[in-house]
Amino acid sequence: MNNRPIELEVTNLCKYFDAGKKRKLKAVDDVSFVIHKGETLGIVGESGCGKTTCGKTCIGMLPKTAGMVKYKGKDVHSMSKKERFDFTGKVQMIFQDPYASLDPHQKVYDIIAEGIRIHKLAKNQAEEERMVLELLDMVGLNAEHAMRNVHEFSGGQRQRIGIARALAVDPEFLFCDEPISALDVSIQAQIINLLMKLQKDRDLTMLFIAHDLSMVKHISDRIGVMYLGNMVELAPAAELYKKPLHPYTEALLSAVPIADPRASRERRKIMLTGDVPSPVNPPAGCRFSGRCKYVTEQCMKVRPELKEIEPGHFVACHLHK
Amino acid sequence: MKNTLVDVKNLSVSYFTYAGEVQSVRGISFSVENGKTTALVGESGCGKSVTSKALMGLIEKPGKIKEGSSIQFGGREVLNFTEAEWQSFRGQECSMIFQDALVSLNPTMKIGRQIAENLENHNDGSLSAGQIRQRAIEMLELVGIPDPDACLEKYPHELSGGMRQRVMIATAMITNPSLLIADEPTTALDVTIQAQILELMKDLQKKLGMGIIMITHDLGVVADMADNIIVMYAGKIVESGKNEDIFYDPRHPYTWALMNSVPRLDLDNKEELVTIEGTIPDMIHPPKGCAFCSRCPYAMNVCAELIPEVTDLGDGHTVACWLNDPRADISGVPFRTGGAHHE
Amino acid sequence: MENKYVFNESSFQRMEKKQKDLGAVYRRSLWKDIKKEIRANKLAMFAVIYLVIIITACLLAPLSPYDPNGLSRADKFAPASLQHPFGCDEFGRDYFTRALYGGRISLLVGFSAMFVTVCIGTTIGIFSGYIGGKFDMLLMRFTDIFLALPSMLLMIVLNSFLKPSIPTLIAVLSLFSWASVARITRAETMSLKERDYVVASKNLGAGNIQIAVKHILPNILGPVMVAASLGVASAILSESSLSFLGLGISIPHASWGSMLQGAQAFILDRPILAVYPGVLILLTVLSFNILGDVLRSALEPKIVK
Repeated sequence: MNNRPIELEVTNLCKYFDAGKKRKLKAVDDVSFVIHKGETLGIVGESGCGKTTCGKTCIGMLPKTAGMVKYKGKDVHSMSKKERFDFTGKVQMIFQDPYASLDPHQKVYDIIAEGIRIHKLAKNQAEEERMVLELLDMVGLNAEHAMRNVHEFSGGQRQRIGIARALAVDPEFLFCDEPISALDVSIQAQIINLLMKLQKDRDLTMLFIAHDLSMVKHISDRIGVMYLGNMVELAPAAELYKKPLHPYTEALLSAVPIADPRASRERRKIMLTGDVPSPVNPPAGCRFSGRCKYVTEQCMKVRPELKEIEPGHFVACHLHK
Repeated sequence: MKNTLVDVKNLSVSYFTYAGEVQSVRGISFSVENGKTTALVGESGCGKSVTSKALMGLIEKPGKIKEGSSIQFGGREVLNFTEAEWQSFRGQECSMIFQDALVSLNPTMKIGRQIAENLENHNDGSLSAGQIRQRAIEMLELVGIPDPDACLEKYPHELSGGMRQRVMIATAMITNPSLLIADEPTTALDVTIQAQILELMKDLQKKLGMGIIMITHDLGVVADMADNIIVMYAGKIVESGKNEDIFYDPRHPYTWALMNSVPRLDLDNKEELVTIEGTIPDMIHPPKGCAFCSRCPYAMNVCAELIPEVTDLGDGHTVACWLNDPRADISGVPFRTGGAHHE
Repeated sequence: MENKYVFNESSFQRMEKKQKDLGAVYRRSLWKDIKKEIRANKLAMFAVIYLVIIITACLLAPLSPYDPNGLSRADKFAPASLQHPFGCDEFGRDYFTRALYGGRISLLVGFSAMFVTVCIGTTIGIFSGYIGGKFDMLLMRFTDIFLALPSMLLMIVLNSFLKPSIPTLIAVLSLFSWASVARITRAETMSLKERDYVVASKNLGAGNIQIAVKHILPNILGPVMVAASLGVASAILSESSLSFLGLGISIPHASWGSMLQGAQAFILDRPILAVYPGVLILLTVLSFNILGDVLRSALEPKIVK
């Protein structure tokens, strides 16, 4: 499918948190995927499915419990100090909350210049200034904004500043952790357009996490669906929406309301019953077995592996062999 | 009007802060029909939540409903209510559900007590404690809670998010109000749970026949739920009408942009999304003309100077936009307007 | 008003595209907030005016024609007059001049003790909160010990062993007050280091010291300022208490506390001698406390979304 080199390779990654009383909260359990250079991989799932934890562990912000994450062939979790520093120059992150992610006591200029200064990318003051102004322009702000305080900006503008900060070190890989969920609808589209344009212009590789399925579909090349710490399906975006193979994906997609009254009326909705079980004590076998209408005895006992059913379309379900 | 439940006329609400008078709602008029769902749509700060608070008599200092406003509920003027009348109105005739059930439910009180409380407050003595309990159980059954008997003895934190939202709906509906105001009822929920709750609300409306005012920014939810839609921007109604009219025949550039700024899950297009540049205006000094003027790609000179009148397009579809004036320059406008092409 | 608009040919022409609208601007600065808070609060206004007057007066004390320690038999217990606004004490020293010189000492001790307290407390607090783990636990138990000590009693004991002087006084006062500042800054640091912008800085490759200086320190200045203004008040009070007990400033130098102590002997004959320093201490401490409260409410996080 994609012949470009693999940028990020995640194999059997596990991330458990201590939940007290010797119990483990299995936020991410045995997840594997690869992201190719220049590709956007979206990860969707409901709250508590471990998508954010998975992303943070992938870029080394959280230590792993087991498994392996390799960025360009190097293990992310066993880097030397020097390697780690170089890694920060290549892998950057966009945060969910545009209010919490910018230091309220700094000017926009200093926020954006921070990465340039840390990585000593500018030879002198003039070059630094030029770089910051270029970045501002790139994210749709102008020079006049540079000397302002972050208080003066709206959510969408702050998110642009956050993007400029991440781009300052000229990264190759961008991890977007729900970058639009805190924004108003009309602003969401602005940020999505900006991210897509930047990705194209700079050939960025992106890991995009969100719970808004329509936005994820719009921005991603491939999409992984997570449920209770497991990756249950992984497929090219269009194919996943056209032909969901996993019963959970099917239900998730059908539950997304569509902004079109006629289409919405004609759709067949698959109602899931019950709630997501606790990740502290997940069901044995398939994690979705308790809510799945096709459940068999095998599902309760054996956890299905993520298998390639069709070229590029992976699913973890006993229904598909 | 047939079957009108609520009739709002010229409602204005301002908040007097020390930065100045924030004009949250600026003279809006609309009505809600019995047994129908009316959706209030708009971005945060557009005044939709303030409008719902005004309907419930919950505007508190420094907020104030301005002179000349009128809210008729079943033929009575609610803005003249005394505090005692408000108390019997709230909960009895008009109930509200909120975004976050965990905050709205008292964490130290058992579910049973919380549900019964609303009914007890409005009980004229005709119901015994046993009957109230029976009614609470019926209500929990109605909102689809398995084993309602056991649920009565639980505390809110013992329930999942979806279940809490169901309990909140049960609490609101136990007095059989004729109007239910739902303020972003599913925003905090996951999509699969959201689908369950929306289905439940539709189902309850069929069974109990209440009118619903639904406040949301999610157009998908609106398309699915609403009979009528009111689009608000900067404290004013820019467009209102039947669900399909708004979705398939938007007449206001703001409505049009909103509809096209969300990618469609069921369609395959990777084109650039329609965006609305800029941000909402400062409501302390609202613009002289149309509030959307600064962000509107089709703004004309008149838009900056004069607030457009509300035009009735027939069949309940109204719009407030100069593009619908016959003299307007509508070249390049991607939706239908009442204007003509200028060359 | 709106009806005045006259339609003309250009009414329905497209507007020329203006510079992109930046939208609503929320300007907020620390100083503006503090100023606004002070203006809105009459008591705070009084406190600030009072403090400005008293500090200027104390700084200008050498302009007084009298020597604060110069004896003059003739003026013994002279009543208040134009020459001696507060009258004279038992040695005929001008009481007004002494009060100003006393104020210099009291304020000097107050500000210095506060400064030392804040420096030590903030450093320990940031270290403890930022590094965390065992180091934090050890440091905080150590801090707890200082918080649990009966400080006044120990100050008395320490001061009676050490040679009374201004530096000793400052050192002793600071020794027993840094702990609460450390507690406050530690708690703030702990919450700040989890913030997204600190995480972002770490992701950019920033070192710990860079983060502490650039992101933590500027953001804890608010609570530290509050602690500082309250610290001045309590240091002045402690200094007065110690001097009153004869363990602070030694004769013939004056501080408000030692003046109070001197006046004690004549409390029945000349109660007014106790009133002057007493009222000065009261108002100064009160003003610093009000200032602390005002700072606290001005610096409270405001929702500017």
